[in-house]
Amino acid sequence: MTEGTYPHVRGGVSVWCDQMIKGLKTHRFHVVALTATGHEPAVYELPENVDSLRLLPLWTTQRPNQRGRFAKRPDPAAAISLLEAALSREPGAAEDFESALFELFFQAHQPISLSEVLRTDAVASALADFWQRSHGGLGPALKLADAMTALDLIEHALRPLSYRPPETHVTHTVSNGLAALVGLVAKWTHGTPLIVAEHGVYLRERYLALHGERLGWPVKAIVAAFTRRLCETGYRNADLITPCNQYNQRWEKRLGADPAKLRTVYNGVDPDRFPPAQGEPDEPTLVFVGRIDPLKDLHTLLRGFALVLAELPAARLRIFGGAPAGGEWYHEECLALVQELGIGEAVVFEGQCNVVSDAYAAGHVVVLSSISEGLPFTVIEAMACGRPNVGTEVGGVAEAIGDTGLVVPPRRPAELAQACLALLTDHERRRELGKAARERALELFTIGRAVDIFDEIYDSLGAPRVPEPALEPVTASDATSDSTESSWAAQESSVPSGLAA
Amino acid sequence: MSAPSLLGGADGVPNHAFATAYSQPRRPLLTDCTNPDADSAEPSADSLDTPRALDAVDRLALSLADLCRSAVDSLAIAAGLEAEGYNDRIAAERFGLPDLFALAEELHRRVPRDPHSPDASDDQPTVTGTARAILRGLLFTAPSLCAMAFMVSDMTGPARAVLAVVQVLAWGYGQGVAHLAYSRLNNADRAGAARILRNGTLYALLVSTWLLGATQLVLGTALTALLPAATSLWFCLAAVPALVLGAEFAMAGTLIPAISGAIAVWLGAPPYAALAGAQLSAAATVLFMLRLTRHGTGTSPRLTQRELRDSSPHVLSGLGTGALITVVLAGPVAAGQGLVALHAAIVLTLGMGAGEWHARWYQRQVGELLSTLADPAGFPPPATLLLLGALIRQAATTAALALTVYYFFDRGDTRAAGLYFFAVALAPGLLAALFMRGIEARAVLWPTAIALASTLVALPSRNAAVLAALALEASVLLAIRAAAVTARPWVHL
Repeated sequence: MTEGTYPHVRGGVSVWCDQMIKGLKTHRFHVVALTATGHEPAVYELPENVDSLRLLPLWTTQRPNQRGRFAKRPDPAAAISLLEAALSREPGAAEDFESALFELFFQAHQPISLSEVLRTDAVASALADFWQRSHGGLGPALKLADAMTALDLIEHALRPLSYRPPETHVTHTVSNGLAALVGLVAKWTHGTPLIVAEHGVYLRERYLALHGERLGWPVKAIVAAFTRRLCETGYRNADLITPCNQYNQRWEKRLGADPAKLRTVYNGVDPDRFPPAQGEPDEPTLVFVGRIDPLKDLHTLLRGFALVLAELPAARLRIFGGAPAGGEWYHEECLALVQELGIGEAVVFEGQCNVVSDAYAAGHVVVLSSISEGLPFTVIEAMACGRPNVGTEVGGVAEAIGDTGLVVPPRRPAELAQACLALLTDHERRRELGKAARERALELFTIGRAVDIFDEIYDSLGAPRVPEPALEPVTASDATSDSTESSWAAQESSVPSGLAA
Repeated sequence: MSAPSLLGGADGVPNHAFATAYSQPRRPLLTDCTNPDADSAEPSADSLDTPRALDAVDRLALSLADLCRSAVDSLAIAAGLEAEGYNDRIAAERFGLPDLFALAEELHRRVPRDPHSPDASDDQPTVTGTARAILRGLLFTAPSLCAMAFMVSDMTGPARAVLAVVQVLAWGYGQGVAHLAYSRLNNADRAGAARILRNGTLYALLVSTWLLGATQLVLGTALTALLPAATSLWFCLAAVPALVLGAEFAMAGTLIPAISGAIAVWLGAPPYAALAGAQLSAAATVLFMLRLTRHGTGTSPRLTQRELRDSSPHVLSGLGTGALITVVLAGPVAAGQGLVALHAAIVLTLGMGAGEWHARWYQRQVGELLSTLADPAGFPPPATLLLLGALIRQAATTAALALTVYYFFDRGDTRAAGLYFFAVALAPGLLAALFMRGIEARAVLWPTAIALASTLVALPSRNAAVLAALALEASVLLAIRAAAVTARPWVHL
């Protein structure tokens, strides 16, 4: 189960998915991708052990199912319970939320769509009531526009409830939240064991996203409360949670994950694709590899590099990577900052690099200035290439680098510059760290290791190994989608078989 | 371990220092913050007027005021702190707290909530928005002018009838294809929308040209009579994609030749200058449409049966409205009063331009109402009043236009006065239909059908007062239905 990533969007999570599916070649996969519209083109070629690709669009327009004038009215009871549990701070609210979610799952397979259930005056009134009870006097009053917007967002988020998953041996989601909701559906329908992998922390990223959205505060508060309860439900129902670093476990435990079910599985790289870099460039060069994105905090990198340049005039900074769609403004900001700092002669924006290992080989030191990370591929790829990292102390960066590079606090240009200078000017130390980095990467961060761990996990959860593929390979164009053709709930009206159990 | 409560710590009494210091400007969360170190985040001089010295947590709260004030709970602050580079080690070393979550809870406890909603000023009407609304109105209702273009030309009755049917079909087509394209746009499938508009328009151009050609061959209609009608029709068909894709301003440039031709004729040039200008404009609009929809050749899903089914009410309502106007205006044309009918059509056209503006007013008012009310049960009465207000504004605007046109062009002509009454009476109904089409297209159908049927029955009498009364009947029916449809708050989401 993926959300907004594989196989439609490039990035660390998609790389991981691709690696895992290709690596776990004795297992067969049904890929279910939560997307915005169901029209997204795939950017990854599906491996031959993928049996199907199903797109579940969240943002298509959904019309009410056709029913007679005298058909039963939508029953809002479960939706009201869900909202009450989302906003409640009483003990047991998390359990109540889960029960209500299950009720809605049942309801989602009835002829009346959840859209009709949630968009009723009764639900909006109840939400206003709960808001007054939980937030009365603490924030703005909940107006009808806010209630409607919040319910609309929650309705979209609950659409996976009406999905009918194929019966499989294991559900493996790339994150908590909506992807895990699909996993819950599989668990409730077929009793399928659920593995929740996490690269970033889903809830943390939703909080950050909500902060920047143009929504009223009550809407943000309601959606955040809903998402938090959803994530709690995901953690509580997971048979195993596999964060990609130890640091993420803090959030997971905080949200009710059973520590016994937590197992960190580091991301891995293919050592053959990232061989030790041969030699070093003539000029002292720093390399950045990654998206040009505010989370990477290139401003600190550029300010830090300006300080490096003041000490080491021959220094160069090569930035490999591009801005994601819609994020070009940040690239522009970076270019403007380069001009402002007067370092244009020494900084090169290289764009995307086809052979990523060449990017690491192009520098003496690889720098990561991020303010938020999981376990970044750029760090472990650089390590595999035998290049020392200077990274910021966020997420799993320090955990990945260990003692094979330098870690500095985020948003500290001076300290970043100091660390870079230390490695650029001390050739002996740099080479030793590079060698140690390669050894550490081979020991902890290889695809083979990650694949072996998940192979063992699948095995422990009862997923059988199968012979080499016998079916016709599936391509991305074979994807099925529930987009504009029909509302999900309208496809069938029978109750899922697993519900009887 | 259970997660912290949503309201954990939010009831803490704020430190006096914050009441003053939080008047500082806000800054976004993920912008370049040169230093997250609380030690360097010096409080403002104002904030030093405190009952106690600010500690490190206070200073951090000041430097992250926006985050703390607007956080929905303490975990939101924890997420923001991590994004600003704070972690467990910093929480322990600099603030003496067990971890980052404890630091977030402390900040949440100390800082009073001051949540700010999105700036509503962005949603206020602008000069550009109003101009766009009026331009859209003019272009949307251009078909009525097209209808007149062939009605006033030198054509035989059968040819006029055929072309009137073509015109009404084009009206229905415009509504249907626009709905299909809007559906795709709502699903973020811009390429699909462009493809529907491109292919739909090309087919419509082909079919209409074939029909016009057949009319010329079978009925022997003179080309000079047919060409103005064809030109207007092509323009109307090709303009639909620009309206749907929001390219009205760019497309307005294609009208320059037509306007220039008209001015030239007014200044004494021969009449064919106006026709030549109009033809150039129509050709330019077709070329503009092809360029605008050039990305519509992608691989987005083809039209489904369901999409076509869903668009059928829009097609029918377009056909009904087109037929209603065409049938009534055809009366004076048949009686040799084509110019009077043209004036009435102009009144309706300009009235609908104003209608776009009234629709915007209505939407803003409803938005404000939803932002004021808390209980959905309180929505219907004021929403109905707002609808009534919009319809009255529409009637008043159209009446003012009618009076102006009547005064300058048809003063003393009782037949023309009857037609103007018809236009004024129908205008609120057309606006009500416009409101409903975006919400529930089926709701437009039966009032339009009743109005059309009664108009057809009354038409032989050619009594202007009766026709105006029937138009009023149509408006009342449509308004009643619109009141029922728009009284539900959810349809305005």
